[in-house]
Amino acid sequence: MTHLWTRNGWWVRRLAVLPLHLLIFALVVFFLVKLIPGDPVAVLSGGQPMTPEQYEATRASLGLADPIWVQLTTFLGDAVRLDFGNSIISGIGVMDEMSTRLPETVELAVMAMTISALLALALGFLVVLRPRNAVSRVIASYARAAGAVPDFCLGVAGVFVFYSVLHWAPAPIGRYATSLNAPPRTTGFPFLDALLSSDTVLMSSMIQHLWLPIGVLVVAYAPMLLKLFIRSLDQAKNAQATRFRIASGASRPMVLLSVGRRALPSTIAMFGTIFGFMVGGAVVVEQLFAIPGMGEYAVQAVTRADFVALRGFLLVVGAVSLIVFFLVDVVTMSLDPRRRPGVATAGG
Amino acid sequence: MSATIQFTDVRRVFRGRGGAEHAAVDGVDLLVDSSTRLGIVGESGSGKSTVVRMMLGLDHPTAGSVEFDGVPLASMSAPALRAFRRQVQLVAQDTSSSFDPRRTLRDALRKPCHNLLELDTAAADAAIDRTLEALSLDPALAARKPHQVSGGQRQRFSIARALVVEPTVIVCDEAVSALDVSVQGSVLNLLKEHCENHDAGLVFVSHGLPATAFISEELVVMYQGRVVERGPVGRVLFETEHPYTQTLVDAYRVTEGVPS
Amino acid sequence: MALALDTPDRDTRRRRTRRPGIASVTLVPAAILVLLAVLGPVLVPFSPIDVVDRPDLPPGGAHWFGTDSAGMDVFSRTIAATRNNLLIGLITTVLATSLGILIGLVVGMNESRRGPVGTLARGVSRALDLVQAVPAIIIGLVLIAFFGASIPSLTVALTVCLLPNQARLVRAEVLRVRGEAYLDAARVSGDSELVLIAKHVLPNSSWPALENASLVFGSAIVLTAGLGFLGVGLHPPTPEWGSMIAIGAPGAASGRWWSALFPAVALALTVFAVSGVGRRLFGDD
Repeated sequence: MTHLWTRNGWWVRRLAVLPLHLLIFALVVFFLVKLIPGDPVAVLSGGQPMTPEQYEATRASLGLADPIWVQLTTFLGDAVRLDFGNSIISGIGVMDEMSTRLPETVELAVMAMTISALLALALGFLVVLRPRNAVSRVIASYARAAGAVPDFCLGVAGVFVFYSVLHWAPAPIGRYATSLNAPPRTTGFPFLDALLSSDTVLMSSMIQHLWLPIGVLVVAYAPMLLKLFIRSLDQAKNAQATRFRIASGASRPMVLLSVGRRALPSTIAMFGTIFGFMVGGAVVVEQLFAIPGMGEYAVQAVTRADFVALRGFLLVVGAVSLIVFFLVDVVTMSLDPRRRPGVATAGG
Repeated sequence: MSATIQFTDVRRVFRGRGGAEHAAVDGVDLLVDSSTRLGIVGESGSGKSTVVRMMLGLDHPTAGSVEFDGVPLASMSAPALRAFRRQVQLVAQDTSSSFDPRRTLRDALRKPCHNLLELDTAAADAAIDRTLEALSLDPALAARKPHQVSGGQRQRFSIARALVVEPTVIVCDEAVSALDVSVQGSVLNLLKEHCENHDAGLVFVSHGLPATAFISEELVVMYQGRVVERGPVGRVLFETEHPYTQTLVDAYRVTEGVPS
Repeated sequence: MALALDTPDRDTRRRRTRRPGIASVTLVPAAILVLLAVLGPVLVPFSPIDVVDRPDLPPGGAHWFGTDSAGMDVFSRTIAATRNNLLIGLITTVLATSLGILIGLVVGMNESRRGPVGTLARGVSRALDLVQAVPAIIIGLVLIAFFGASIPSLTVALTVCLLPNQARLVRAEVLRVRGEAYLDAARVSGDSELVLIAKHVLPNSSWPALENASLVFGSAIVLTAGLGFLGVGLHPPTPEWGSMIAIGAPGAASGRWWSALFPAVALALTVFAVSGVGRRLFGDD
């Protein structure tokens, strides 16, 4: 029993703080949104004159007439049941919207991240193994320039070159041709659903529509991952343990494998942050390519001062990020036990 | 001038990350004054560094008390603490990090002059130059940053920083351990001479028995946070009581060729 | 969004000594930028906030960069926007860095204490980690909803976005410096805790935030433009690169590349110029 705990305690403990972090996050979101100046009732009425009675009735219907702690407990209680209320503008449940929009955005971010990761892995090894190669040098300087050209600039340039000039991409509107129907909903992830329903027409339309936005995300964010991967590969290559492995006559593939394994934890540790960027980037890219998703929802919520929608949106994005952070932590900790809490790293 | 540091049944507990408690120092009694040169030996982790920190008021006991002339260090007022530091000074352990890398050595040496002796800059510089010359250091070196002098020179600067206020007790924490053997001897002689010439007491803390035995009159052996042996150097070396001390002494005999 | 994400590995990147004699060449682009920001509005041939000609004119004699879909002069607007974008970037960098250093210092020094101060410091430390959970552009989006879009409110919003990373960098360094032997040596030399923090801890632990400042500047500029692009930044016709790109984006899709290209190029050049200054100052790779 004690043995089981000492072996597994680290991730159980990490899992146990997750709800606490979510709670803190929910509290911050509640008060932050509460502090936004402006009167939701006035927003709702659209500037129409209201009688004091109408005003009070609207206020009560939004739950704003209750004392603040009642509002807070209601909000938290509903949030636990995954009920984030209804948008004060459209009246549609925030959770209903999220359950369709979140998978769409996450799918975009995950596709871009997978390609970025594979690219970073391959290019990273190339740069570190063949540092004098001309291609390597170009890649290395591209990695160093990480983030200098923002995603929306790349996006606009991409649309101009590939749609307007070369006609390689369709008009930047939506995730598939408007004449097609949505795939039958099984997972909520549009591409996956199209794949599952074997709708080849829809799939090829999606590929045609999505390769450019995903390409924009990859070109914008892969260099960050690459930069970090190159840095940690370099460190791992020069580490004592690697020299020992070479000195003891290990074969080249074995040495490479050990270098890669040593460099991996610090790169994976960055995945949480990169994922955050990808979601943020997806918000921008969705706007540019008129793809419905979380980005559209957030911008609408902000421009219309829809406090319920904004609160729900933030909570969902925060929760997803925190869960991703948790998974990343668990993976890096299992790859590198020194990162586990309670493990002393410094010697005596 | 009286200057007595008294440890009474001192215990210092650290809490580990998992919440586990660990007594670094446990039930230690010590008496330090200006009349003796006291050596404290022990392996790393024996609690001697914690003893040093408590002796200088940088850390405080969890139980028991550390008193200077009858006043607990933990409850001293700022002026009283300055008066204490004026009399008790430290020659620190790690030569490479015991000086701020961004400041010159002279800056570091002016600090005790300003803070503890309340000298103006000119008077401080005069005192610093006198001290440096007594330690056969070129005062011009003081204009450099710590990484621009050799390890041996830096350790002499560390000693100068302690001696510039003419303390009555000098506490040396692994003061020579990081130095080449050839330099160790001269630093030890220097410290010994200073104490003899100025009637100053010395606390010499080290994991190495040879240097400690050379410079000390009294010896305390620490093992796992406790004092396991104490007495005049000769008695501890030749009439050893504790098995841990015996292993230290055996190793010492081999290296120094002392007959058993 | 491109971001101030720098996590110096503590073991390999200890304090670097600054190179004397900053090569002046890398400062030239930055100097030109500052000059444009100061003199820009005087130099421009047309009013940057008024319709001056027919819409969608391609670059040519009268309008070097053409006109946008409303008929405003793209050249004048690109130049005039320098001041707004640079101002926001500069103030944000100064605020985020100085507040970040302050918070990192206070948190790092008090984190392991017992009692309410320690608990508060640990709480702030966790909160800094949690803020990282939300993409900066989204925090910016929400905060703009908060304060409305103006130069001061954008500056505050971006400071809140970019401050946590600066504070985290400094905190990590404070935790390292706190164990250095020279702090104990200074205490024994009679320094009070306040003097100790001001003279030793602060100078030795603020370098990661200073090194990262050029990245923060770049991020601030990119985020300003990003928010402008999403339509919640400075309102047109105020000249600002992001909103100019947003206005130009539909044009680019139908072949009129100029009204989006020039502000985008200005944006990228600015980020490059600033990171060049940062690299020179701190010798970072």
